[in-house]
Amino acid sequence: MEQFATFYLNDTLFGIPILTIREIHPLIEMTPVPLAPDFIRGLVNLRGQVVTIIDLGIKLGVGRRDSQERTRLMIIKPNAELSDLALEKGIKTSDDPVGLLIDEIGDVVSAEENDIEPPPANMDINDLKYVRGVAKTRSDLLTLLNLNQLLGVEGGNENQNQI
Amino acid sequence: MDAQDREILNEFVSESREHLADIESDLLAMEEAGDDADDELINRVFRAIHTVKGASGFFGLQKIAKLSHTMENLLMKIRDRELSITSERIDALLNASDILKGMIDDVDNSESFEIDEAIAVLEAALSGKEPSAEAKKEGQAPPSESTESASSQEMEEQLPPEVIAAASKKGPASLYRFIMDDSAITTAFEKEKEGDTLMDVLSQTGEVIFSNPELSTIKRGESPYSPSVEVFYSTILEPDVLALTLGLDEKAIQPVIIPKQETKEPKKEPAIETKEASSPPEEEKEVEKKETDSGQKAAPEEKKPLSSPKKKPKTQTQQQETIRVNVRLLTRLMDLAGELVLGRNQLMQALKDRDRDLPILHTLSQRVTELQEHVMQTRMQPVGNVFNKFPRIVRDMSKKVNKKIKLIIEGNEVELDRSIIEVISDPLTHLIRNSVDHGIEPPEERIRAGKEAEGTIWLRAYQEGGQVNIEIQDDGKGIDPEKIRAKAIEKGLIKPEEAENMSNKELTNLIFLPGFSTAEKISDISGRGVGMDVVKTNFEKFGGVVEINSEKGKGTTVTVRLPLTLAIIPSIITKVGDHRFAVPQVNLEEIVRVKGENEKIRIERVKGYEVLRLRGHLLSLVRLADVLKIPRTFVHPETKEVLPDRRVNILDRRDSDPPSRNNKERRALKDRRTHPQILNILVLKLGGSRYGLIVDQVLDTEEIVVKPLSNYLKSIACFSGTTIMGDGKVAMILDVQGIARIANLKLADIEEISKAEEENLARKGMMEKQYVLLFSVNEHEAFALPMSMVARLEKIETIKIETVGEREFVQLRGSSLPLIRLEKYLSIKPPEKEHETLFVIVPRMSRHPMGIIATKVIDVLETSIELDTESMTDRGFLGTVIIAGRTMPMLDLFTLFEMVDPEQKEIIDSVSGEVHNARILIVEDTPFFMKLTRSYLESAGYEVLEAMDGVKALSILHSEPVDLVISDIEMPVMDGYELIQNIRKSEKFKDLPVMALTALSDEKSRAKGLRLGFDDYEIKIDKARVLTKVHELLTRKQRASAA
Repeated sequence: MEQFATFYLNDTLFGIPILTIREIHPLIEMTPVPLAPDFIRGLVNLRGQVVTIIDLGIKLGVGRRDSQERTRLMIIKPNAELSDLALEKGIKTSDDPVGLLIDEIGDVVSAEENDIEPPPANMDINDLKYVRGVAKTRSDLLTLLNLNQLLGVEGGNENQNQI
Repeated sequence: MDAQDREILNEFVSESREHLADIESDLLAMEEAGDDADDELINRVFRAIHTVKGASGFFGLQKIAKLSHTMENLLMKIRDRELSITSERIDALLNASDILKGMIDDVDNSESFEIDEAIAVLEAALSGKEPSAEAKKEGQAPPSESTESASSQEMEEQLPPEVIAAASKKGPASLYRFIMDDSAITTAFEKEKEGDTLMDVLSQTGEVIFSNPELSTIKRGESPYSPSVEVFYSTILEPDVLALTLGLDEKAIQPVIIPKQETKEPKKEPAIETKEASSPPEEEKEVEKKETDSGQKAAPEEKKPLSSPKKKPKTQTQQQETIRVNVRLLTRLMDLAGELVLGRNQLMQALKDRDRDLPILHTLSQRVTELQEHVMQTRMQPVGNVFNKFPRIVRDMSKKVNKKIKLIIEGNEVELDRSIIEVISDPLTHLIRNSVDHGIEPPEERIRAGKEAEGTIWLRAYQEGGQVNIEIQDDGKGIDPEKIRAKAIEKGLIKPEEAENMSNKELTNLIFLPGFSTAEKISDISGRGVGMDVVKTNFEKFGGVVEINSEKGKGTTVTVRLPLTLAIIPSIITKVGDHRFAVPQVNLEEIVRVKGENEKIRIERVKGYEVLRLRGHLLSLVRLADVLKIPRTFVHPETKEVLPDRRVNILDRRDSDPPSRNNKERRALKDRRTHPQILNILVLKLGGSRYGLIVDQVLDTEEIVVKPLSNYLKSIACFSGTTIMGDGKVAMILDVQGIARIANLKLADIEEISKAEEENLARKGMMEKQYVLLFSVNEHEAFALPMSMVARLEKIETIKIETVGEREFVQLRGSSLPLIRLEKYLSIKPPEKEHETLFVIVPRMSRHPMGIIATKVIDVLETSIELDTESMTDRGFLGTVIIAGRTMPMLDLFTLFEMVDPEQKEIIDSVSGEVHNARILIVEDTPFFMKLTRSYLESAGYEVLEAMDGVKALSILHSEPVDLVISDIEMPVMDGYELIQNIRKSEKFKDLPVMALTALSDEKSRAKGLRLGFDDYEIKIDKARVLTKVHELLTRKQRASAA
C-alpha cells in the first residue's frame, strides 16, 4: 500500500508519493530566471532556502497555464531530506529543493502495487518515461509520475562542461 | 563487494590517506637531517607505510601491499641504520609514496597501476649499502637493544608499529607494557577462573594489543609456561589494580605513551581534498574541526605523569582536540547563519521603517554577527594544507634546473575559508615555480653576484585586517624594468611614449598583461603556456588582489591579498527591466553614466562591437538585457517610468533616421531626444581586461549571502549564484566572466581592435585637440573650419557691405576686404531671411585677403578631428567631421579660393608638374594637416611619402629615395629640430632640401629652424606659397646635382 498526493494540471489528475512532499505552499512571488529552461518558472525564498519552481505542465506537455486562485506550490523534499522509508522504496527526487507549480491540490489516494497499471500507449503525455503508471480511483484515472525522471537535470553534465 | 565491505574499504582509504598525508614532509625532513634524522621521524614514516601495507593485505590489494612492503623494507634498513639517508633513497621513497597515494585515491583500480619501476628503484636503493653506514652501526648499539629499564620515552620508540596503530584506536583506555613470567602467568590463571588461554584471561579486563609469543598459544594448565611473555595491554584499570589482578609487581607495569599527535591526529585537509577529488561512492565528506576551547581538554594522556617535555609536538601540528564533523552539516550551519543575518537585516529594516528602536535588538544583532563569524570559522582551514606541497615541488624543480634552493614557509596556521583554500593552490604553484625557474639564479651566477650559492624562497601567510596576505618572496635576480619595457613595447602592449613615463613599479606590473611572458624560452617548468595574467585572473576571480614588487638583483616579492571568505560578499544591486541582479563588487571597477546627448561622442561602433571611449581607451559594451534576452527598457529620467527601448543599438540616433522619414516621425524621435536616456555602464574587470555592462538602474550596495545555483540553472553561464535580498526576494548573482562569454565578447579581440584603433586614431589625430570654428550661412547647415586656418573673425552690419559689379566688399580697418558668399560657389542654400549683422571669417592664407560671410557663429570649441573624406566629396569640402554628435562638412579653403580666384590657380599650376617624379616626404603628426598637404602636393603632381614623426622619417630616408622633406616642428618622439639635426649629420643627406612647415610663426623658432639646417621655413596654410617654395627647392637641387 502506497499513498499518493494528487494534484491537477489542466484537469488531469496526477499523483506523486506522499513521502516526497515537504509542504504545500500558497503561490508567492517568484523571481524569474532569464535564459532558464521554460519549465523553470522562477525561484522563491522559503525560509531562507532558495527553491526552484518547476512547471510540470510544460514538461508533460499540458502547456503553460496562468496561475489562479487555487494554484499552489508543492514543495518536494530533495534527495537528502527523504526519509529512510522513502529511500527503502527506491524513491528519488532531485538534489535541489524544488517546488511544483500545480493548478489545484487533490486528495491523498492509497493504491496497492497491483492496482497500478502501465501507462496506456495512447496517453497524452510528452514522454512516457515520466509516467510510472496509472491507477483507478473512485472517480478518476490517476496518473502516477516518475519524479526522478521528471526532476532530473537533462544534459546537466554536458552543460556543466561549458562552465 | 557488499555494502559493509565497501564501507570498510572506504574506511581504509580515508585512514590510509591520513597516514600518508604527512609522509612527504616527513621524508623531506629526513633528507634534510640526513643521518641525524631522529628515530621518531623515521618511525613515523615507517608506521604509516606499515599500516597501509597491513590493511591492504586484508583487502587483497596486492599492488598496494607489494609497493608498501618494498618501501617498508627500505625504511626498516634506514631505521636500523643499516643504510644511510641519501637523496637518492629519499627520491625513491617519495616517488613510491606518490604512486601509493595515487593507488589509494583510486583504490578500485589500484591493481592496474604500474609499480614495477618504482619497486626497482626502491630495490636499487636497498642494495646499495655504504660502508660508512656499516661503520656507524658498529659504533653504536642498535636502539632495539636498549635495556629493560628504558624510560617510557625510549619504550615508545621501539613500539612495534602494530601496537601503536591498534592502541591509538583505543580511546580512553591506557596502554601498558609488562613482562609475564611463569609465576605471573600461573597467578593470572588462578585469579581468573574463566578462559582456556592466557589470551582469554587477559581479555576479561582489557585488550591485548600485542604480545610475544601469541597469548592464545599459552593454555591453562600447560605449565611450565613460557619463561617470559611480553604483553602490550590496553585497559581502563589503573596500574595498581592491574598489578593485583595479574599478580605482578606494580613497578613492572610500564605505562606506554602513544605518540598521540602523529597517529591520532591526522592532518586535516588533505583527506578532504583528495576525497572530493576522487569522489568515493559515499557522499560523506568529513572535516576535522578544531575545538577552539583548548581549556576543555580532558584527554587521558594529559593525566599521564610520564609525558616528557621532549615529546611536545613537532612544530607543524599543534596539539588540539578535534572532532570530526560532516562538511554538509557545516555548510548547512553556514547557510543558517547567513539566513539569520538576512532575517536580522529584514527585521532591522522593518523596525527602522516604523521608527522603532529596540536596544535588545542591537544585542541580538551583535550576537547574530558573532555567531555568523564563528560558524564561518568552522569552515576555515589552515593554508598549511596548500603550503605543505611546496617543499616537494621546490625540491624536485630545483634539482631539475640545477639550482640550490631553500624554501622557508611561515604562517602555515593562518586560516582561510575552505572554498578559497581549494582554489589558491594552482596559482600559488605557478608563482612558486616562477620563483624557482626565473627568480633564483644558478649557483655560479649567484656567487658571481656576491650572494650565497643557495637561493631562498619565502612563502608567508599572515592576516592583515579582514584579509589574508600570502607572500612569495625570493632573493633571486629580480625583474629588470628595462627588459620589461623593451618587451612590452616590442609586443605592442604599450606605446614607447607611454613607457617613458612609467615608474619601475608600473613597469614591473606589466608582466600581468595578457600576452606577456618574460621567459626567453619556454621551459617545461614554468612556461606552460599560461602567463602571469592567468595567475592574476585566477586570484581575482574570488576577490584576490595581486601585487608585485621587485628590485633588480635583489629579488622579487609577489603579494596576494585574499578575502577570508566567499560566503558573504559586498555587491552592487542593479536592475534591468523588472529583474534585479547582484554584481560582486570585486569585479566592479567603476560606474559610468553616459547621458544620451553625449552618446554620440563617447559610444562608438567598432567592427560590429559597441564600444565606449573612456579616457582614451576603448571599452567594449554589453547590454545585460540582450545577453539575458529580456526586453530592453529604459528608465525615463523624469517620470522614472520604465519604458521599452526600441532602438536597435546605442548609436541608433543617426543610423536609423533615414531621410525618407516623414516629419511626424521625425518629431516623434525628436521628442524622445529631449528626454535623453541615461546609460548606466558598470565597468567590470576580468583579469587584465575590462568591459562595460549596460544596465537600466544601479540601486544599492549590499552585503549578500551567496547561495549556490540549483543544478537546473548551472548551465546558464551568466549566473554564479543566487542570493536573498533585504526584501526577502531571490536575486541572481551575475557571473562577470560568463556574461562576457555569452555576449561572445572576445576581449582579446576587442583589445586588439582597441590597440589598432588607438594607433589609428593617433594617426588620425584624434588624440590631438584642435580648435574648430563652427558657423552657418543659412538656417539649416553648419560648417566647420579649423581655427588654425582663420586669421580673425569680424562682426559687420549688413548695410556696410558694398557691391561692385558681382563682387561684394566691406571696409575693415582701413582696407577693403572682398567677401565671399559660400552659397555662390558651393551647392548650399542661401539664407532664407536677411540678417542685420553678419560675420566675416578672414582666413589666414591666400595672397589676397578675403572674407567668408557667415550668418551665425555657432561655437569655437576644442575637439579632436576625425576627418571622413569618403562621406562628402563635393568640390570645396575636405569631407565631414563629427563634432558634438553632429556631422558637419569641413570647408576646403584651398579649393574654395581657387574657385573664387582663378588667378591663384594659375600660379599653382605654373609651379606644378614641372619637376616630375619628385618624391616628397611629409613629416607631420596631425593627420588633418597631413591630408591637406598631401592632397595639394599630389594634385601638383608629386609623389608623397608620409611619416608621423622624426624617427619614422629617418627610417624612410634610409630606405627610400626622397627628393625633398617637408617637416612639421612640433611632433612626438622626435621633433622637427631634432630631425633636421639628424638629417644634416649624415653625409648622405647634407644637401637634401628640407622645408619646415609649421604653425610656429614666431621669429625665434624660425631663426632656430634655419640655423639648424632647414632650407626654408614656411607657415602652414598658404598652399600657393608652399607649392612655390617646393618648386624652388627642387629646381635648386636639380641644378646643383646637374652642376
